[in-house]
This record gives sequence, structure tokens and C-alpha cells, in this order.
Amino acid sequence: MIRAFWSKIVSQAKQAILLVEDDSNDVLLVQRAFRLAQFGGSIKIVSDGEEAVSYLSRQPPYENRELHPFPLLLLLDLKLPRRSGLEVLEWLRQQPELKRLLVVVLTASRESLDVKKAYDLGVNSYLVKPVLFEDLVILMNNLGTYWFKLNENPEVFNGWNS
Amino acid sequence: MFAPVAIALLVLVVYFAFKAKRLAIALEKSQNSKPSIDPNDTIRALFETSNDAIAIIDRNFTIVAANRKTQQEFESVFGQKYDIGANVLELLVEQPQQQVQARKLWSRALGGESFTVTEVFEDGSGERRYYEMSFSPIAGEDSTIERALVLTREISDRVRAEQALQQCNERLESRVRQQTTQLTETNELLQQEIRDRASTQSQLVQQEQLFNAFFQGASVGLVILDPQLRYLQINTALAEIDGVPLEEYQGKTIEDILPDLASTLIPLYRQVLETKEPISKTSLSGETPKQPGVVRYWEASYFPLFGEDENDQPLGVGGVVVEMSDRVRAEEALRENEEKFRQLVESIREVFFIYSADYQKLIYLSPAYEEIWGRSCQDLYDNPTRWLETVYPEDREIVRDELVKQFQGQLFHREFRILKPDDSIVWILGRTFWSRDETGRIGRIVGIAEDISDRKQLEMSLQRSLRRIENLHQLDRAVLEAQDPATLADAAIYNLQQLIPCDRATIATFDFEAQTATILMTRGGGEQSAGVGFQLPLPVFQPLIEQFQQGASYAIADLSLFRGSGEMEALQAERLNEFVSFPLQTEQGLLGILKLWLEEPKTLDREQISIATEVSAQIAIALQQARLFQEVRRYTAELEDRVRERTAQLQDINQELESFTYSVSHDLRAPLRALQGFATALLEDYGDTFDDLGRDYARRLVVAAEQMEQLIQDLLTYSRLSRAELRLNEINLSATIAEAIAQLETPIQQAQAQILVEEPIVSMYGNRAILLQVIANLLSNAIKFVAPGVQPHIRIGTELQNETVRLWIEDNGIGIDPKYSQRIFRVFERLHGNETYPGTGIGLAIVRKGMERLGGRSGFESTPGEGSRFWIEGQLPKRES
Repeated sequence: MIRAFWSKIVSQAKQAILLVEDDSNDVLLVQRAFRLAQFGGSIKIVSDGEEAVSYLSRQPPYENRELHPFPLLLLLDLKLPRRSGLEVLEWLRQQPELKRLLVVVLTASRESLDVKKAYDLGVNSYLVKPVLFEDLVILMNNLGTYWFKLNENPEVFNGWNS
Repeated sequence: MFAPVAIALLVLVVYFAFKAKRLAIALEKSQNSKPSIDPNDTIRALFETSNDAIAIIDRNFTIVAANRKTQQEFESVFGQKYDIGANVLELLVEQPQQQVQARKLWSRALGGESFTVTEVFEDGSGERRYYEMSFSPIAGEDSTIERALVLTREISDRVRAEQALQQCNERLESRVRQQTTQLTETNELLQQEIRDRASTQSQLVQQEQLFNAFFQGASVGLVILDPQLRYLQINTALAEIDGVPLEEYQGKTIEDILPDLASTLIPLYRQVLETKEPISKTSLSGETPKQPGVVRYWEASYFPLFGEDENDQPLGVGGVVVEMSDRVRAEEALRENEEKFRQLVESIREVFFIYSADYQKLIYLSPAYEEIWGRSCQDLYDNPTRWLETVYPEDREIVRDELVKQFQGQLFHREFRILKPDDSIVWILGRTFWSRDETGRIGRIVGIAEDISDRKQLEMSLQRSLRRIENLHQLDRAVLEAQDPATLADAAIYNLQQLIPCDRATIATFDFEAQTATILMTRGGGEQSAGVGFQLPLPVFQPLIEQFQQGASYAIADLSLFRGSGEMEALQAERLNEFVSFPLQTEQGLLGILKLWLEEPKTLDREQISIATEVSAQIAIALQQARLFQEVRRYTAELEDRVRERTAQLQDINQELESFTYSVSHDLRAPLRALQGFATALLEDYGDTFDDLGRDYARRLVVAAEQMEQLIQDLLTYSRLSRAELRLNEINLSATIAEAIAQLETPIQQAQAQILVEEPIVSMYGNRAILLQVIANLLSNAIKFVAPGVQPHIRIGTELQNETVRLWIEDNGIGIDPKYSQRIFRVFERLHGNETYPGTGIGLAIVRKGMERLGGRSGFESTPGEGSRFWIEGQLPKRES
């Protein structure tokens, strides 16, 4: 039952992205860039690590699958209140049902320590927020092209279609 | 001898042949014409009466004509008569040999040949008869030979006479031969005799020559005088001795030749003449004309010379003289030498001796023996082998061995000791040599014995010194190796006891502040009562300390001086009563003392004291060093603690800094992004509702935000440069330059900059990221800082210097005033307004800091208005295997 249900959700929200970002400015800018990049699909927003975990584990207020579809890609900031991006990543990779979810870090930090840690925890890509807006648009465009058109993505749930 | 006869016969035959022909013709005429008176009757008569047989036959061997004689002879030979007209062959039928011979002879004549043969026939009585037969052909008128004539004459008598003569002749010749042989033999005998005589003669001559040669060649003087004492013969050697020419002697007397010697010589000669007895080897001396004024010596022998009979008066006197002057003088010199030698040998300190080859007889012993051995020379003369008994008992074995070796042909050469009668010991170096006589036979043993006691003592003291030095070296090493005072004190005492045997040795250190003395190390007796670590009040040693402070180098102390300290009683119980103490003194003062316990401290000799003093000085220095070493170690440990502390602090600070940077990089940028992003959004989404000024403001917001972003980026880079741990390796600068150019593609295109990379580009030891940043910054500056409208021309190259690699970037930019040469490398330093040449003022600071982190340098040369040449220097790549 659950599998059948998720299957429907995923197919409906094929190009949903979940953005974990606490900075409202950045949320607006990413949303605008997402729109200008003609990414297609939808972008869902949560503002901290805790909320991200709640969203992904379908806890309230995220029970509604229509409003909160399962994302194909998690766009994760690292510096987050309550639970940091790296902590979210670490948690995610430990969940048997979620561990293959595509995670792309989008952060202001170029610190090599952060980069190393993120990759150690199994991030799929690490991107730095560009200061220039037009660069952000290019970034979003490339992101869509790469992950949703070029990349062969894993099934997030093991044996889900069987 | 028969030739004239033959010729005569021939003439006769020819004549008769001629006649015969005419006779034949006449006969024919007579037959034909029959004259009455034949003029040739005479011839016929002659023919008939001829004593020779004459016959003519025709071709049929028919006797045509034959005279009487022919018939007679024929009859006497063949015993038959024949008639004219008879056939010869028929006549001889019964004598076939004769018949054949006759036919042969007649045929020859009829063939036209004239010849004479001698035939032998035997007559009836068997006597041999010799005939000479001459055959001639007779030609007819037509010249054909019809007949032949033979003239035969018996020659038996003649032949026999000849034969007799021949026999006679042969007999004569035989006799002549005999005679000749005899004569030859006699002749040879005579010749032999002549030769013998000649040989004898030459032998005589030879002997005389030999005698003369011998006489003249003899090296001794030879002379013969007649009874009147006149010189008969004298040889060269004597003439030489006399110094008178040989030819002057002839017929002279002794007085004539040797006036000075005459009175000596004449009596000798007279004695020989009178007594007829020789005088043998008498010594003479005197002067000769050869060397007037010089007395010379001879040895002379004289003897009488007799003729055949010794009983007669002597014919003369012979003399043999030998020059002895040199030998006499040599003997004198020898005597002198011997005297000198004796004086020498008896004046030297060494004993000189001569033994017989078997050591059984002492031939000579110099008087030094009495002094060195303390025994009389006579004693050894009497008992030549006694010297072995004087050899120190322990050394007798080696001396005997050496003697055995000597008899095996080696030299005696050995140091040994002897005992004098007063039991004192003397070191002797004995050496002997075999003395050989002129024939090379070993005659005697010659030797020298030398008193080497002084040298021996010196050697032993040298060895002691060497041992001492060796021990001191060991001590040195031990002291150097020891790091704490106790170990070095132990090593010092151990080594010292090898040099100075003592019952107990102690090193005590003084603490003047605490007024205590502590035993640092001790070996030997008393370890129980006063061992390592034993402490006693310093005042106990006050008497010693005072002595040392007054400059004493050592002090002998009796334990009674230290009554009251518990240690001392305990030591006394172990019979350690007295000790010698030495100060452990350094420039820093008295550190302690070294104490050597001995039963008899006063028996320490000067050398031992000097050793102990030396060792004390070394111990003092080593102790001082050990203390310093310990102090240094303590300081080091303290320092290490402080470094650790400081490092921890720094690490904390670093940590804080890092998190600060993190915040800066993360948080400062967020508002910038918002600023830029929303300004862009305004321009894009609401640009229409703004007027120009409004749009300009919005654009300025965008630009300011971008500048701020660049500033933050540069600051972060700079800060990261200071903190990052770097991994250094060989960097291919060529690739790095290419990468930097690629990074700056946009500004290069905008400025239409021309960049020339001068190959070859060498490698540098460094960090790729930093070098890329540095090169990009320099290149970026080179592109940026040009006068307006000027196309940037940039050259990049590298060069090897001694240990470094230099990379330079040359531009045709505006240049830099040298007075800013230091400032421009500081953070935020800018020489131009942002409108002219925008920038953060951190680019060159990054260059400098980056190169400093790589252990390199950076700098520039510039001419304002013409261009600059910036350079960086790094290390050469390390050659790693």
C-alpha cells in the first residue's frame, strides 16, 4: 500500500526539488532563478535541518503528499539553524529507505573542510552560491539539465517497483 | 841401342831389294836374251854368297829364287831341303803353324806391304833360333805385284847377347836398388841425429832462457858473486831494492855498489865462502842508494855455489834478499793499534771480552767488568763460564736459549739481568759476534756487555707513563660518556684504582649553601658504614677546605682530625686510618674532594700524586659539566613544556580564527548576494518603472556588491594562505602559467593583451594552488595596469639561479614608483582610485604571502611609464630517488 502510494506521489512530483535554506533572501533568489531557468517541476522549501528531516520522514506538518511531494533532489544549505546541513546529510544516508536520495549542497562556504566532510558523508555534488544573480540562473539551469536529463538516477526505494 | 842395327839392316834390305829387282830383271833378260856376259854376275855372286837368306816367291807361294844361305837355313830349321820352284806352303805341310804364319806373311808382302818381323823357330836339336825377316813386294813392269822378296837373317846370337845383357842389367839394377835402400836408411839415421842435436841445443837455450826469466822475474832479490865478491849476476828485484841500475853491477864489488852496507855484507859472504855453509834468513838493516838516510830492513839468505864437486872451493856465493821494511813498519803500527785499542777498550764503560769459540777460554776481558759485575776479572779468567751463574735466576733460561742460538750461527743479542755480590740487580745488554780469521774460519767470540739499567728504568717509567695516559684516556672517555655525576664518578674511581692501588677511594661533593658533604661514589672498604649518599656536615672537612683554599694541591689527613662524625669511627674500625685528599676544584670553586685511603699515605710517589691530581682536575671539570648538562636538560625540558603550552594556545587561536573565517565567508556573503540579487531583480522586473537615475542606483548596488564579493574572496584567500598546511612538490610552471592564462581568458580578450611565454619554462618546488594564484594575480595586474588605450604586451619567463628558480612577468604598463616598492605588497595598499584601476589591494599581498609560505621571495623592478618586471623566486625541485 505504502509503496503504491509513494509511487504515485513520485510520478506526480517527478521534478520536485526540496530546498533547505534558512535565509529568506536566498530562498527568494533561488526561487526566482529556478523560475528563470525554466526548470519545470516544483520547488519546495524548508528553512532548517529539523524541518528537512520532518519533511522527508513525513512527519507533521508534512503528511500531505499532495502539498509536500517526495523530492527527486535535495538542495541543501550547510549553515542551518537547529540541525546543520551536514547533520541532515548524515541522518539521511543512514535511512535505509532514503539513503540514495540525490543531495546537492548549495552553500556560501568554500572551506575545504566543509567540502571534504560533505563528500565523506556521501553528497552527490557541492555547489557554492554565486554572488552574481545571473550566475545563479546559469547554475540552476545546469542543475536541471544535469540531474534531470543527463544523469541516470537510482531508485530511492530498493525493490520499489517490484 | 838396337836402332842403328835396325837402320843398317833396313838400308841393307832396301839395297838388296833394289838389287833383287834388278837381279830379277836381269834374270828375266837373261832368260829372254841370254846374254853371255851378265854384268850382274857380281850381284848374283853377292846374292849367292850373302850371309843373309834371300828368297823370292810368286803369288802361288812358289819359290822363284832363293840363295844358298836360304836353303841352309831352311834345312837347319825345318830339317828338309827344297828346290827352286818348290811351293812354300807345300813345304810346310807338316808344320801347320808355320804354314799358316808363312801364308800370312807372304800374303802381306804380296799385298804390297814392306815390313820386318822377327820369328822364332826351334831347330831339330830343340834350340831356339831367332830370325829377322824383311818382306818386300816386287812389282812387275805393269806395276802389278807378282812376287815378293824375303830377306832372312838369323839373329839368335844377337838376341841371346841381348838377353844376357838384359839379365846382367837387371842384376845390376837390383844391386843398385839394394844399395840405395841402405843409403836411404843411413841418411835418415843421420838426419835423426841432426834433429836430435838441434833439439838438445834448443832445450839448452830454452833452459837458459827460463833460468834467466826466473832469475829476473823473481820478486825476491837474487845475486851471485864470485869468490872475489864481484857481481856475477843480479836480478831486477835486488837492483830495485838497492836502487842501482842493473847494468852498473857488471864486474863491480859490493864496496863499489853498496858502500854503506859493505861492512855488514862482506863478513857474511866471507863466512859462507870459508865455512861452505849457508846462512839462512838473517835480518839486515841499513841504508841503500835508493833511499839515502832511510834505514831499511831485509831478510837475507846466503849459500855457497859449488861446481861438480862439492869438496872443491865454491865457485861463488848466492844470495836471496827479501825486502822487510813494510812488514816491520806494519808490525810496529799493529803494536801501536793494539795499544790504542787496549786503551780504548779499558777506558769505556762497557765490558769488552774475547772468548775462544767454545767459551772454554777467556782470552780477554776489559776491566769495566769489575765495576759492572762487582767481581774481579781474574775470577772470570780462572772460571770462564762462571758469568752464567751471575745471571739473575729468572733470566738464565733466556740467556741459555740465546747461547744455543749463537752456536747455531746467530748472534747473541739479549737484555738480561745480573746479580751483583751485594744482591743489587743490573740490567745488561749482551752482544757477541763471531770473529773470523783471514781464511774465514770462526776463530773467537768477541762481545760487549753494557750496563743498561738507566735505560731500562727509563723504559719502564715510559711504559708506566703510557699506561697512565691510556688510563687517563679511558677515564676521559668514561667521563665524557657519563651524563650524570654518579656514573662519571664511578668510572673515575674505577680507572684511578687501576693506577693507584688503595683500600678505599671516595668522591664527596660539597654543598656550601646547605653546609653538607655527600658521598657521590665510593669503592673499597667502608661501603657499609659510609656508602653512596652518606651525608655529613661540611664543617667536618673545614681543615682540609682551608688548606685547599690556601692553594694546597693535596693533603694527607689522619682520621683523628675528624673525630665526632659517625663515619670516621666506622672507618677506623675497618682500619682505614689515613687518607690523601685532592680538591675537586674548578673556576666555579671547590666542588668536593677525592679521598684515597691508604695504609701508608706517605708511600705515594710523586708520579701517583700527579696522577691523582690530574684525575681530580678531570673529575672536577666533568662534574661541573655534568651539572651544567643536567641544568641544560632541565632548561630544555622547561622550554619544551613552554613550547607545548604555547602551541596549544596557538592551536586554539587558530581554531577560533578558522571558525571566524568560516562565518565571514558564509555570513558576510549572504547579504551581498541579497543586495546583488535583488538589485538585479529590480532592474529586470521593475526596470520599466524606474527612471534613468533609479536604474543607475540599482546598477551601482549591483557593482558595489560585486566588489564586496571580490574583496571577501581575496581576504579569504589571503587568510587561507597563512593557515593552510601546505604540501610541496615539483610544480610544472609551464602548465601553471597556461592554467592562469586560461583563468584570465575574459580580461585578456577584453584588453586584447598579448602574452609571450619564453620557453623553456623550468619547474619549481612549491604548491600548485598557491603558485597558480600568485601567477594569476601578477598576470592580472600586468593586464590591468596599462595606460588607457595601450595594448598590454606581457612576457613571462623563468631562469635558473644558484639554488633557486625565478619566474618573471614583464609588462609595458604604467610602472611603479620605487618609493612604493614595499607598500604595494601590503594588504589593502592601493596606489590608484577604484575608478581608474579597480581592485581590492590584496592581490600583491597574496603574492608576497604565498611566496613566503613556499620559502621563496617576490619583488619587482620598474620604470614608471615604461613598465614593470615582477618576479617570484622559489626553490629548485628536490632531487628525490
